[in-house]
Amino acid sequence: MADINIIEEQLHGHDHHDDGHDHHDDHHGDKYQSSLVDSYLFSMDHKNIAKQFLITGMFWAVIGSAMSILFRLQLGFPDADLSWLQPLLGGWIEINEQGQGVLAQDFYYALVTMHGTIIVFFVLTAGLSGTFSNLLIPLQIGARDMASPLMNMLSYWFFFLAGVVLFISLFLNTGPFSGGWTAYPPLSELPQASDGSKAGATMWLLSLVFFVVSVLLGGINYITTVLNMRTKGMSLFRMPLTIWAFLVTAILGLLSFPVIASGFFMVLFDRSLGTSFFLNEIFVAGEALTDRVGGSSLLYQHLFWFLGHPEVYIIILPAMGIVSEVLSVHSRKPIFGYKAMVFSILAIGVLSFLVWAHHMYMSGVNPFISNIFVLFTLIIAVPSAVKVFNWIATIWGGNLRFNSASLFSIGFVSMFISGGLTGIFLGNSVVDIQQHDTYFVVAHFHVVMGVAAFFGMFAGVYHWFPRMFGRFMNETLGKIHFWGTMISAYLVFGPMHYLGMAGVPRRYYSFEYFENFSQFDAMNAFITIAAILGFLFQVVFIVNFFYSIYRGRKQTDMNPWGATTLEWTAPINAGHGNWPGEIPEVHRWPYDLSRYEDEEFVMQTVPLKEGEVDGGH
Amino acid sequence: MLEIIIGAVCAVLLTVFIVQIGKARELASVVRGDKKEEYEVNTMQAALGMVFMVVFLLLCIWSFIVYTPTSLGWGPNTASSAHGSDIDYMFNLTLFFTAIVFFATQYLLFYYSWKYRGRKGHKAIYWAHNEKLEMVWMIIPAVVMTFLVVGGLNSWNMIMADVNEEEKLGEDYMEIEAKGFQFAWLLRYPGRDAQLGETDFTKIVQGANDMGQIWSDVRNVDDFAPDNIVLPVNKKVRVRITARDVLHNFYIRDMRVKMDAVPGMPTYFVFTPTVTTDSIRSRYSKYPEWQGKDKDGVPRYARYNYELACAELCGKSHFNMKKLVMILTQEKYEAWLDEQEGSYEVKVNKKDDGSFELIDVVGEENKDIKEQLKKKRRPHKTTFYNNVIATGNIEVRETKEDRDTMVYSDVIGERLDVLSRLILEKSKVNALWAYFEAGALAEVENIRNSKIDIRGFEKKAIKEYADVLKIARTTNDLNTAKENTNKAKQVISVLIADAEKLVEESKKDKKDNTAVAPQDIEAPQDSTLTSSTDSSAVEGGR
Repeated sequence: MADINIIEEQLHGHDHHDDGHDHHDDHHGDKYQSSLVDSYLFSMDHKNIAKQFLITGMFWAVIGSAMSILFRLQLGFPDADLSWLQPLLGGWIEINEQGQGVLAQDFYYALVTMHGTIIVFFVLTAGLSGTFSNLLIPLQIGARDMASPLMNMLSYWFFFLAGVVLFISLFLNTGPFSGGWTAYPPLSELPQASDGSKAGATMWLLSLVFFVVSVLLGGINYITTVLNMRTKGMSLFRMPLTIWAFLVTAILGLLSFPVIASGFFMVLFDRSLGTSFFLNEIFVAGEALTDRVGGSSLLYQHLFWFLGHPEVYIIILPAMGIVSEVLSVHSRKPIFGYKAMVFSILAIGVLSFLVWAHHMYMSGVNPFISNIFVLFTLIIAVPSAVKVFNWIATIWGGNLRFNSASLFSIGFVSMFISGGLTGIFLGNSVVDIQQHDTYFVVAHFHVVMGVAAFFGMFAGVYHWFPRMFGRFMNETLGKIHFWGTMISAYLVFGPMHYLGMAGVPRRYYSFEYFENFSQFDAMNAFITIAAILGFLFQVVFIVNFFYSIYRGRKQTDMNPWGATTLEWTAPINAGHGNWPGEIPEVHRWPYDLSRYEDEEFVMQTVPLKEGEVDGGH
Repeated sequence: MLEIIIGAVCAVLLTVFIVQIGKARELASVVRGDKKEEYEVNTMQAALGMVFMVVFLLLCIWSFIVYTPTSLGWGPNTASSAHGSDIDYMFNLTLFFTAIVFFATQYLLFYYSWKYRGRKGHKAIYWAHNEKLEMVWMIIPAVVMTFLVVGGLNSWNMIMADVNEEEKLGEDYMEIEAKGFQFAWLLRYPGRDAQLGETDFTKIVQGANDMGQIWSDVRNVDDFAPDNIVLPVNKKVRVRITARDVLHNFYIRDMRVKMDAVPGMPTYFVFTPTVTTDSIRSRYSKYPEWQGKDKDGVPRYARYNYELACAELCGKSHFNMKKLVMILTQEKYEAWLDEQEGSYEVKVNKKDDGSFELIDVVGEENKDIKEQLKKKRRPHKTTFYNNVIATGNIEVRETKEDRDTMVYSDVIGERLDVLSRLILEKSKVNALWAYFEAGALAEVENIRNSKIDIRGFEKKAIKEYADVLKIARTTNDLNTAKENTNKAKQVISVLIADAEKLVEESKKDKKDNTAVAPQDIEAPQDSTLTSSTDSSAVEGGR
């Protein structure tokens, strides 16, 4: 409590004598956040920032997945007349000789690019890690707020700014960036080579630079908070797995995002200042760029994937943390092998920095290099397998409570298994010769980090919704949402494995030119229908979410799930500062579930009985 | 506007509908009391999970069976290259291991969820960890991974190994180049000398020198650029993979070949095709889905081809960078090889030489003329190449008449020396004559477009051309055309005489000025030509 007062004093220059306890008593924020703008817009309360991240993430998720529906229409029904989309998309729907409206090729690639960028960065990084790190770190470690609430707020607003810039780029007359979410130069640097590489690319880069700032501000804060602001008794090995996951995620972000920021700046320099970091011997648009030599596209790829690979763990680790927590609570059992889970998170974190070039086996790097990356990549399968087995072992012998949160956790494990196993194919460079840049890759990463991370996010939202809004989400709709999403996700991405095994390349606007790839019209139509179905099921979630904020069943029990962790010791709709009185003290590990006959669960705040050994040790 | 209103109304109705579903169920649960409802829900959801798992796993098996004909290493989609079977093997080995894990874990996940669903009187056990068990499931994946890593890397290092020096000298190896650009592939074969010449991106001229070949490198002279990749079966091929503008990827599905094309950094892939196009077609003919006939009544398998595609996003037409890949028997391949003409010949020489240019000018309706002209050209070409290869010197000239038709210059021909230019004009006129003689009247205008810009002769020549063209084009009637042709002939013969005179005079001047001693009658002309081309942009032979 003293901490937060000092911090706030420093931030605002207020005399802290007169603030007393009122920010603990008032449910709608402390005295610094008395106005509507302060409490909801420029809020420094980590819980409000979490909601901001979540709702902004949901906004982007809708846009990003709607885009995927658009380009799936092109892939599934290339002969369909899309002129009915003209009021929305205008010139991007081209009328062909038959008088039919078709998606413009440029726009198709712009959609693919935006879909990737939005989902990977805005939804699954900011929307997932941003939401739950913010919500749970202070609440679960027993802190009143983040180490720096101001930086936390700035983190959100830089994210917001990144979103604004990217959103505006959608309306450029040369179109948004269309060079793929990886933005490989020279395509991303040569305005002559693609319309999307004109103003669209500059805005894309700008947006992502803002995004990197957001991630760094958030990350520093999460790490500092976890390391320095744990309540009394909260040793590292008494932290819930969520916190471990968020901590490692933040470290990964902090170490990897600056690298790609430097890459983005070099691309910007190449674009605007005439440097040649990534350009060499290029002849484009009838002209040899004789003064743009000596760079290497591969350099960018190294920089990109040095972020890009940790990035997939930045996405999946928070989901893993959430799922571990949710599965444990709803199985009424401690997570199996807590320490193994922690060490596998750490191992994955370390290994994630040693495998980046497995995205580049076929990029022209020296094949010898790939030996090392194959080795490290397949080693990652070991901690991943440990996690999967531990989740299953957590369910084993449990008393599983089936609600939307636990269903999504089970769904996560299923998805993670399916997608993780296909990673073993792709991680092996010799198989990657054929599978690289085919639909096998699309299927793999969508299942393992797209759908799985979404499932982790949904599990988290359903589970901690009462913590955020003091109400429950509707369970029936939640279950409809789960089964609809689970089934349609497998129907979308399952068949893609067969496309990949047939060698169909990804990022193709049309398959009609190749005998090898054009035999799957029915399958492509099927995938598109499944994708539309999956999208519609998300409408159920969104309606449920917003309806429940205002009209959902009210939370009456402070600890509705019978969990042991600290976030459920704070009052319903707690204000800024989280606990009205003293910060709770921790006496035991977070997984004393079903340990004793008489008590189904023992909260972390309950002191150890005489002679009792803490569960984690 | 109406659409928007309808859309908004639909959205509102959908929302209300969804909310109502939720409400109805929730009311019921409140009425029935929480705990009982919870157990019912648990059982129902766990059962759903079991049903899902069974259907899901059965669908996996069923779909695998359905899609075996296109799956890697199954049905006709087995590798058609020597190294490709290793890839197929590793893929299916991994598939075997992962399938076991997949079925086991998915089964356990849903089965345990069912078995340990929350229900009345049931209680969870406290089981926090078991080190032995955790060791087991850490070591098992580690062991399997070791197998996969060792097997995979073993194949990988063999497949990706470059051709060694010894092989390079041998007969069983060839190198070709594929250069990606927006949005197609340029191909280059080494020609008779079996060596690809040097390239330089600054020398690229669209249409004339797409690969940026350096013409002063003698190895370039016979390099040719076919439309499709044609390779002999069972011969090791090293593809030099390059890009002109952005990243591309050289991908032949059936050969299991894939490698990025990077501007400024040549990459490579070495492979040995083992199945000819004919054999792959007969392989496909065994599958019913390939026996259907297209609208011309040809069965689909008979049209099957290996295809080169781009597998790295390169811009808006990335999906449309196809080249056919034909694998032929050695004899057929050699026959094909004989038909190929060097890029220098096609793109550069031809542009400077009227007689060759006319091959394109003559429309398809005059096939005979075309053939005649082609025949005329062939021996010239052969002599020329043989001389070049024999001496290793691009400057080597053939006979006098060859020289008349085979003037050469730097890439664009801007800095052509005057003498060459005169000879060029003369041969153009000659060709024009030949053309008229044959009675063809098509598209003579192209000649006018060939931009002649030498002083003195040029003005006259242009004027004469214009007249000839005027005469030739005044009619569509064949008889009148013949008459016109005769008139034109007369004009041209005067022109030729002039040109010859000019050539002679020019030769004489040069001869007086040059120190090179004549070896035979033709020698002075050779030396003048050589020295003058040296001073121009032609970069000199070795």
